[in-house]
Amino acid sequence: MPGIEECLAEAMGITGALGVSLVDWTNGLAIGTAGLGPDGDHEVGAADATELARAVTQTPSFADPDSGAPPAEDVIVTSAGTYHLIRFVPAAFDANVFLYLRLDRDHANLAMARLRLAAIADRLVLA
Amino acid sequence: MWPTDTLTPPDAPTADPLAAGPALVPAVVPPMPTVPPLLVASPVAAPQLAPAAPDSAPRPRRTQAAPLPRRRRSSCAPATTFEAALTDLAAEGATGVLHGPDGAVHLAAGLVVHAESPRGATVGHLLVGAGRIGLHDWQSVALGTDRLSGLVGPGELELARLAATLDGAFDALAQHGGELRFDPAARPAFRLARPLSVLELRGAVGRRRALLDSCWPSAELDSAAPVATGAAPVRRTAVPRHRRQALLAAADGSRGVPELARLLGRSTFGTLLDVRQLAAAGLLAAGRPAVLPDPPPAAAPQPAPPDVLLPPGPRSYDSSDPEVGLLLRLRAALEAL
Repeated sequence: MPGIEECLAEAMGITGALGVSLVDWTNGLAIGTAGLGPDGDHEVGAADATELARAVTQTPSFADPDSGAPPAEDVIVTSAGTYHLIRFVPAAFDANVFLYLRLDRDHANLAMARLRLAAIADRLVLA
Repeated sequence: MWPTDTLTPPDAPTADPLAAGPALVPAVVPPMPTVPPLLVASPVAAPQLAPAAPDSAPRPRRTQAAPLPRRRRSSCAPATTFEAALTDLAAEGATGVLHGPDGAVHLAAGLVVHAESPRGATVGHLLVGAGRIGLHDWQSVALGTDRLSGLVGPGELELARLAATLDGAFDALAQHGGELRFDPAARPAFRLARPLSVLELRGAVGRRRALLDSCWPSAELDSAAPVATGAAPVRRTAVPRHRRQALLAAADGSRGVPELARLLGRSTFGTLLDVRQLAAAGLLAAGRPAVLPDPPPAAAPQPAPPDVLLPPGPRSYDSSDPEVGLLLRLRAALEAL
């Protein structure tokens, strides 16, 4: 049963990881961070990732509200040098948090990183 | 207070080349229009002042006036008396709890470690309500026998603590004008693993309020008991179906938002967010006002600067006159277009 810090450290172990943060999308708060944020600033990175996360959770087309259990799983943004991976944490109560992992595109395997981040998000809230 | 002296004429009106008459006779300077200081300082109202100034009479030039203070609406300026007191205590590095009638925030060495409010969910509400632990488990935790560590992981427990703290802070920070009390001896039920600065907490709560208002910009349902309208949704909603159905079934007009949150095992803010979204879709409406005497948090202070320049002091019209009332309603409707 890992804590937040252990989960973030484990996410930094994913090949190509540049930085990771645990963010509350209702308020943009970076609850925990590891590695480097975008431009070295986790706070700004958390606020920007929150905008992306809200675009999913607050938009019926993306939130998929009639599909059942967790409304959204991942948001993936790829740019020339970086993969941005957002994974919503499936907490049993209203935690409203996600993990935001940035990956170096030259070294990372996006499919593998997505699976590993999903497993970390699950372990964060399941005993 | 806002100084008005920057609009008063300088002592030497002869500095104005337009001043007529012999140089030794001081020109009679007409009094400047009296303007409410708040409107002068408001960035919205300031441009409207220009045409109102008399341009025919000789008018002294404004010279080296000190910049007018500007009212900031950013997160830097405390918006309520509770926020102001908390900010001062944090600056002193205080340890203890700041109590108000609607909530309390605990500080340790100037950092926020805990917050609670009567309306906000507790860790027990969240974990028991979500079915993570039984009521008996929580009662034994409350009695001091720590059985929680074997049932809930440290990550999940910390997230529940943060959710409870933010729920409490949402109400606590909105308190304005009530009696506040600081108790340096009190100890919180738990402490956050990563304490928050007061600025972080205020920013987080402010962004939550903005999120609520972006869903449905009315705080009417925050303190009322919502009722399911039974109507077809006027637009799609992003609230997951199981959450939506449970909330609509429980919203029978007898429960306020905090009671709904407890019944459904959710945070008060999470319930509020759902309520606002369902209200926007036309699925929920305000029932009778809940027994809570206090105004909703979102209706707290900071009135927006008025759009029109009104003279200070008592209003010159009688709003009880039906014709004046009609004109006022017409004006409000036109302004709303």
